[in-house]
Amino acid sequence: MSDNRTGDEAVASYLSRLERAGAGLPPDRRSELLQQIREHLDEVSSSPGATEAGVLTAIDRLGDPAVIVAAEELPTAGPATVSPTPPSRWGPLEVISVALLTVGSFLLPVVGPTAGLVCAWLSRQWTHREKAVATLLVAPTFLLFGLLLAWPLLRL
Amino acid sequence: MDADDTRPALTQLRRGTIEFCVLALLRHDERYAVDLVRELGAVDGLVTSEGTVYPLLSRLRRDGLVTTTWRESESGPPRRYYRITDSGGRSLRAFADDWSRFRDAVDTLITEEGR
Repeated sequence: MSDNRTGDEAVASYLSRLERAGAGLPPDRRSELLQQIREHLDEVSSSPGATEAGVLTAIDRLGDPAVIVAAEELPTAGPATVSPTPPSRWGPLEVISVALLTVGSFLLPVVGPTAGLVCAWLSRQWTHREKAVATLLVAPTFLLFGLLLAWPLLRL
Repeated sequence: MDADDTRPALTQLRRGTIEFCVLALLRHDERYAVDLVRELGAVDGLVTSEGTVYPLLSRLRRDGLVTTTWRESESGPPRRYYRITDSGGRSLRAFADDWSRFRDAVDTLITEEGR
């Protein structure tokens, strides 16, 4: 063995490849990664009985610098990726709509639920499907009320 | 490039489980980086290139699942040792439960024996 540690040249060449591959990483991440890989290879090359072939094998096992950098770029699977809670589907318009469609039907027949349906269809929170369901549920009461009003006329 | 590019499911599985394998290796004792990386690399099919373990170790440290300390070595330069934190331990136990249920569920469907 010479004064230089085993396989110094191969290590330097590998580290400079890694440095180039990691050019796009944030500086702190890149320097940490380089430091870790440098320590790894230092450990291998300075261990008793280290050989040039052993260092080359260690470099080979570390793998392609581009693959290591790609692993560094993967998103964190930690709390940072938790999706934000969906916005509430109950704004003032939706509350008024339900109030008019339920209690409103008794207090203000026809007028109450009609206003309720208008509110429901103006809602930006509810889907078209939900609005259609609300309309269908209320529709029979309109029919019934219409029949009651029309009854005296029909009997004539 | 990765020799498993043609098997994306394996790549995804490895990506989702490897950090817990690291935590499991640290469960009982702290270890220095090279030792940890070697051990992971020695398990067939777990790590395709040993260097990719380092970004993972940094991530675990940033997420507070492991901590690092420097210790002198008798045979060479000082070594960076990794130790699991309480939070890392909880994370590992939760994953171990999920994993055994998940593994059993998949096994039930994909193994031929007993069907």
